[in-house]
Amino acid sequence: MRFPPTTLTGDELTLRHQVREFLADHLPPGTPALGMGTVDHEFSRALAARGWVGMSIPIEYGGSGRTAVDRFVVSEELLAAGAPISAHWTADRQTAPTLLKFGSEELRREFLPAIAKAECGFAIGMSEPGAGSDLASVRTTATKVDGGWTVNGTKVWTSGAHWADYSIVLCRTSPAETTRHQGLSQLIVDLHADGVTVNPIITLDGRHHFNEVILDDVFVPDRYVVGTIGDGWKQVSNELAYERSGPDRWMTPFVLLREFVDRLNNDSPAEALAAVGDLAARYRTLRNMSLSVARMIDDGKAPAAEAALVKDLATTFEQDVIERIRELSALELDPDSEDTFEELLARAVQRSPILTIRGGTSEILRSVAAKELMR
Amino acid sequence: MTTTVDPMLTDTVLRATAAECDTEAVRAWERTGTDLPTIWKTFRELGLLDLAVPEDDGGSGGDLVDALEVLRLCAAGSLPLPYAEHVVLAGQWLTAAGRYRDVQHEHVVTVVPDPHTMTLTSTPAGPQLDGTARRVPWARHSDQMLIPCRRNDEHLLILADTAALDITGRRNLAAEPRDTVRASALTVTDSMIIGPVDQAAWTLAGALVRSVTLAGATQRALDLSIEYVKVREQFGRPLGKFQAVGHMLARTAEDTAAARMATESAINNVSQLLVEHPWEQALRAAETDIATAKIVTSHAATSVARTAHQMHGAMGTTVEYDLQLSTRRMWSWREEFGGHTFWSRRLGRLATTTGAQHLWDLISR
Repeated sequence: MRFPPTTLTGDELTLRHQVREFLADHLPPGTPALGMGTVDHEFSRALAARGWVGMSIPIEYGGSGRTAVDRFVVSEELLAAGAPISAHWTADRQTAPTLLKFGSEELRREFLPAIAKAECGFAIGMSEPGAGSDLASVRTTATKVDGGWTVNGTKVWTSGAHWADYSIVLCRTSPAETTRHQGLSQLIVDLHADGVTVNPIITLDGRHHFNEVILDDVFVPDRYVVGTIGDGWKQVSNELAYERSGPDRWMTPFVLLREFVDRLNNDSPAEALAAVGDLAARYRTLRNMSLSVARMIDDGKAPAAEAALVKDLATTFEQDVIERIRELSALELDPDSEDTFEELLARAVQRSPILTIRGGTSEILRSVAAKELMR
Repeated sequence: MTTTVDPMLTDTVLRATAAECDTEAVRAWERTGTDLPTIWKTFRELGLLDLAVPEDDGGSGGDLVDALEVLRLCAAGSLPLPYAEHVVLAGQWLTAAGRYRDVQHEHVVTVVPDPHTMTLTSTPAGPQLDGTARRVPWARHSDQMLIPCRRNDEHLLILADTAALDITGRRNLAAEPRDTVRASALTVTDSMIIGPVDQAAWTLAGALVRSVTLAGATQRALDLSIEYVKVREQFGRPLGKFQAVGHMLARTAEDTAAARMATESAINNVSQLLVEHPWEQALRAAETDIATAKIVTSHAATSVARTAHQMHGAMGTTVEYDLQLSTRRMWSWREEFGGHTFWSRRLGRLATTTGAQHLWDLISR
């Protein structure tokens, strides 16, 4: 596995500058977000108006036809500022590339321009109560009916299903015969359709981010089939592979680290300064690895194992950042603190466990990487 | 922008290593070697000892990126040679001062790592050098050495004959010479004074070369581990097929890739800076990158050595098996020219002084 070092070009640096200028004027007030932050449709639409949502979507489908690195540049700047970007994040990162790669012309025309305007939110319909890391064991079914499919089953950990418009649901369209990977398909479910029930799953930090989505005889028209019936496994693997190692996998605790540094000065204890130096060095290196993956994607390579490796390293690092800062701060955690740093620290500690689970657990990622290394 | 190395150069080094200094030869040298291994002479004949010195200055051309790639290969092969000290450090400092021709072609030059050990004082008999420098790499094998020293408020670089110094043999964990060098009332003539030296840049240059060697050694430890867990079978299947071992392999690959990325980023930046800046200025301007490289490679040295040994089981702890050649070097090099703690504090102080509002710039630059 090789990560060729790369740096930003002049045009990419100009783009970064534009994003910084925009944020200076448009960043909503308040405590900066850890990670993607709240759902702020207005902010997402303001970004979309600048062409910074759906950047990878070609111009003919309403996007701005930019590169993976351009998207990387915009993403890391938004995350560094703690901007609220949840409203468009999943559609931008995951749905648009999937539709571009596998969707019919009709689907692309229907959804891509809306995604690029941040007017259409998507939720990921993969995990189920009995299918977490073992995604091939999904039991949601779609049965062929006149003009479409009837979907039945339960999805869990569905981020944003309570406000998103649609979900791409992975389901079984025919029984598994020789391998479990056969007979799976992806369908677009309208989350406002009859038979869809969205129940909140409240996480340990009191947040409502995840949902359980119950699909009870939900009708999906034929035109909402993504790609080919029976090719769902291949499509999902593709979807998971490339966007794994982006800035959202290492920027979660950045604003916490920034606030921590703000509390230090030259006379601070040597161990606090050493921690900042160590974390900054690892931050710089991870960023370079993540950027290298984005550049490889633009160069037409398929760095799936590399992306898995970076995601594991990155999310483990995120937990290290939070833990080091907690140790050095020696504070009793107060989620209601008026102090920005203390509030962020309390939230970060509670956010920490999910970081190495969502989007592929560390264990799955290490297995992906090990398989490639042993080849 | 990425700077690349001619594959011919890599091939030349690997061929010479295989022919003349394989790991069996390294083991033999560690047991009984007194002079430098014969591959040093071969490297000289191949022009590898004058790399990154312009032909006008008496070198064989090439650039710093080439020399550091050869160094990385030497480190991966655990070659017991003063390549970092002679070719990269002495070569670049002498070239920067326009004094490369002061060194005879066959001479070996090393460097005193710690710039705070030697003092130059004026006496009626002329300036004299005094002090004790510890952990000087390859001092006993050198003909000359570059010594940073203090004269009142200025810092000077001196090129001294090793024969005029008192050398006591010491080693690092990898049996590489790290000798104690004493100067007592050594008369320093004008011609021995190379010029002023920036102490911070001196340490930065050393940290850069040790990062490169650590990147090479961690890569070798990873490669040996991959090979071992593919071949070694227990309970009827290769070790690598066990999930616990596969996961350890993945973690080892992560730390190794990070070490290489941090090092290559530093090399690329220094090399870019050298286009427009002199040597010392380029090093100072690349402080963040070099500190990053030494922090990340020193950290990787610890974690990669631990997991690589764990994957190899008892076999890896024997002198017959090659892994120890790499791990003993990693355990030594991680502390040289400033270890993890030294550089973490340095970078942490820099980040704190620069200010929280510029932290993102520091990370994303």
